[in-house]
Amino acid sequence: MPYDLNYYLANLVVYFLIYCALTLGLNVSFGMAGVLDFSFITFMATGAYFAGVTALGPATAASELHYILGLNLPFPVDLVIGATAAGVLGLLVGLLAIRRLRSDYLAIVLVAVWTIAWSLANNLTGLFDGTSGLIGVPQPLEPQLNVNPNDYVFVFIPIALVVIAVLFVVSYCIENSPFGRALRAVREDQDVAAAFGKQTTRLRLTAMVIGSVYAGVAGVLTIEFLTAMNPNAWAIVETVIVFSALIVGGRGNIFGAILGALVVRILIIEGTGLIPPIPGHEELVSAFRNIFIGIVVIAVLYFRPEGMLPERRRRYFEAVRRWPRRAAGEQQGG
Amino acid sequence: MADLLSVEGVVHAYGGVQAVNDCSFAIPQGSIAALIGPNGAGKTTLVDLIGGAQKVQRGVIRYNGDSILGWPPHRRARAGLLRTYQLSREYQHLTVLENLLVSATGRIDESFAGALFRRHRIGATERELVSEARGLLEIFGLDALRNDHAETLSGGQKRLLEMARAVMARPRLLLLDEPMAGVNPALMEVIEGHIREIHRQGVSFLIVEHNLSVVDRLCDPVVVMAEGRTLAVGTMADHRANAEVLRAYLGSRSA
Repeated sequence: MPYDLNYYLANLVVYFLIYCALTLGLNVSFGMAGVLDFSFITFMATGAYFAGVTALGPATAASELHYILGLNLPFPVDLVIGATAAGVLGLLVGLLAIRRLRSDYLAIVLVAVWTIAWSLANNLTGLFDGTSGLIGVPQPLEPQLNVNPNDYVFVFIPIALVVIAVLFVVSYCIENSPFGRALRAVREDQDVAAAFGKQTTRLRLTAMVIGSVYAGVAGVLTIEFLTAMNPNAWAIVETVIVFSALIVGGRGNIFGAILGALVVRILIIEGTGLIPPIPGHEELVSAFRNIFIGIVVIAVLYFRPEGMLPERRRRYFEAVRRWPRRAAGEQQGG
Repeated sequence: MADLLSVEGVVHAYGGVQAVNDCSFAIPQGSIAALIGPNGAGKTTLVDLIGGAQKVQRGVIRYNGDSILGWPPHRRARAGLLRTYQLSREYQHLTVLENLLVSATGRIDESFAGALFRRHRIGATERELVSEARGLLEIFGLDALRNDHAETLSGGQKRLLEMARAVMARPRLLLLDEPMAGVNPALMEVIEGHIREIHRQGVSFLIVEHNLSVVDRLCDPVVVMAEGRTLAVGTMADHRANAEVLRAYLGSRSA
């Protein structure tokens, strides 16, 4: 294979892995717990920015860059700080919004959260350098290994693989646990879950924080791979695209989340990028991306409403135990 | 016997509509009580108030002697106060068996940390719960459907699932909101049998029901509500002799 193609495909692998962090995260908050987290991409940005200002050195007057912190700390400290910052923001937003609001109102409030965050990032230039964003963020292990910039992607792939593997295992554990089952019950009917002893606010909040941390990790990987992050990368449409990916792949199913990342991030977004520009209408190329995503979402919702890989029905084969058993004595004790 | 539940002067209004207006009665431990009354008498609102889905605006509800007004619904459930719904509200995209498993709140570790670090211990508890849940499903005739999504059940099966789910939560007092609504006579007998069996296990009941022959066979005391008030409390025989009850609910012809 020619070198350029190898390089291109390697880049695609990284994009795919990063996108998996997003869809797996949204699969916890929206897929399992049913929280319509329309501020999802905000947490990705939070992770990216905080990792950026952790890894970058202090902003000096001479550099004409403006941002907070500038701690100059190595990987994986920036990963931890970025993920934590996203989780803390998710917790704060959730504490404000989830306690009081039901799904649809919550969704609107979360769009407002994104709007506020986006305006702050754009206009408070001292925070993350406004519209120009952070640039020149050091890449993990890059100084130590001193590899050719074109080969760096092959260093990054194993790093991203390890990170995504951890996220995948955590997701797997959630999906196949009483915790995950409780989240799904809350998603199905919050009132009934409460009437059967579930602390629904706490469960939804936990799911939202987990989703935010996943998004934060995706942000960290993004800024460390691309070395830059600015507000264009987290416009509101990006949240919609992550939702689309999860709906196409199959919400509530970790393999569906991964398939969704593959279909939407790689096939559609990269695929439409290959469409040659129409002379005189060059701006249409980026529009094609969203048009195709829209068409695929509609097609999936029409033909396979639960996604390409629907939520799995877990089967149980333990033996039947005759009822009643001890029940009366036990529960009348108190 | 001591009162398991007492409702004292409870008031609840939706906007200007007085749904429950100064309602009082008590349910002794170990009884199968009924709550009857014409449509709009405030029966379901009262069940919501007891379960915690709605807030009591005035008055007090005591459970096992304690006022539970400040208790959120999940705390009431964990204290053994469980309910079913007038229109079945099963978890549609959980399997029949999972509908039961997820209702065993407090008996299995449902924390995120547990999902990551205590999988072995959870697995053992889970196997116990599955065996118990399957035993219950067998009684209710649903075991063969245990791996199907609950949304695929028929109306009658959903009624049974709701009751099985409530029993799985180990109730002390079970509030059944119209368990016989939309149920055919044969299934009605089955449900009646289940109620008697669960009662034998030591569970008390408060049943909202319009089918008076069922109420007559099963329930004592019978609380009659009309326009948000308690009209009378007693046996069905008492009520048949009570002109006020007859006017409000039974219809004058049955007198």
